[in-house]
Amino acid sequence: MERKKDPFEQLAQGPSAKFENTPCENNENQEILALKRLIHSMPEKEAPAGLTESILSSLEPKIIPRWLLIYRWALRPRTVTFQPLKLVPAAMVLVLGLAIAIQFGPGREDRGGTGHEELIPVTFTLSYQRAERVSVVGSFNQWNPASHKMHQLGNRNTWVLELRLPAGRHEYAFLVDGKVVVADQSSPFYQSDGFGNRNSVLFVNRDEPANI
Amino acid sequence: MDGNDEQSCIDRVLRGEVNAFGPLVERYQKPIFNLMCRVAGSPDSAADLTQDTFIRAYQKLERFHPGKRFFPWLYSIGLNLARDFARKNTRDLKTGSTLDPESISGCNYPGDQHDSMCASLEFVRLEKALDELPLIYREALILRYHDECSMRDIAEALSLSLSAAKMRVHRGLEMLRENYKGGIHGTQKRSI
Repeated sequence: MERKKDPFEQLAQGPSAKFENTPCENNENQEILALKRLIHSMPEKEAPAGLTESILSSLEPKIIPRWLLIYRWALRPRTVTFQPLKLVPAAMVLVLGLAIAIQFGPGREDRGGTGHEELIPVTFTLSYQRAERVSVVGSFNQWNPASHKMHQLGNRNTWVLELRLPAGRHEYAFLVDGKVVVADQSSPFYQSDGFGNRNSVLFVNRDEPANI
Repeated sequence: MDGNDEQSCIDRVLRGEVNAFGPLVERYQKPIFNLMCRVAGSPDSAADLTQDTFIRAYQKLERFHPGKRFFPWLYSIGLNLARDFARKNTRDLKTGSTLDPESISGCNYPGDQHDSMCASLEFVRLEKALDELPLIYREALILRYHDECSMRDIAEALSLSLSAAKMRVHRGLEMLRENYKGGIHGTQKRSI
């Protein structure tokens, strides 16, 4: 073991200021300091020559399971150092990489379905005479008559609404004056609503817009 | 050799390199041998106990916790062996000085002879006073003021809590002061 410079030598040579309270305390602390110094400089016996060789010759090579070596490797504490100046560009590169992955990464079209570019334009048209107001209700707006109101064209009998819907199957109907449910006569597919009415069925393809 | 070197040696030993244990033995054989000398008295018994300590440490090396200091762990093994030895050999324990005045002096100049002799007597007296202390108090003082260990290392070496280790050092100093002032009391039985 390496021996450091005697730390008690200076203390034992002159009384420290904090021990100068009373002569009694001073004497007592001086005795303790002298003992510490004496222990520190106490000579040591040298170990017998050849002890290392004797010990090593009596040892067999260890055979430790690999999992234990990995476990011990995982247990070992490590020091991580970084420089703020290098951390900033590293963080910027990380953010940029994440942004690129989100923008162009695989599975982008399958996530959420709320992006504007994923919606396909669909135009609903209804010819109905003497109607005051017409709405489109369907599975895409939870059958809410207030959310998608249609607009009259110049001839007053034609009602039109353009929506952007996600691709897939949708059921819908027209609600005239808030009480008359009218199925779309131009739709080739229908589905019973279970209450005696028929809902039209619309299949929106990703590749082409629809005019209903 | 620092903590990383020690850990590297231990890793190599665990991978089957027996000789990697050599630097650890070289570094710590002296304090362990001196511990055993204080307990056993005779150098032959101390050498045997030192060898047993290192062999026991080698056998249990995979239980050594990575990141901790090796010396307190080794010292605790040595201390357990020393306690066992002391229990079995209470009647044979020597209470005389284990210090050899010739090895203490180390100076042949006539002018220094008187000072060397005084220093030798001081150390013999200190050793007597230390010898009268219970083992754990004595080793706490040696570790703290001779080997310059931290309180945390002392606590680990003595298998104590940190506050208990501080108490042992503080109380040990007081007991040593009383013993030292009281002088040499001859053949007082050692406490374990």
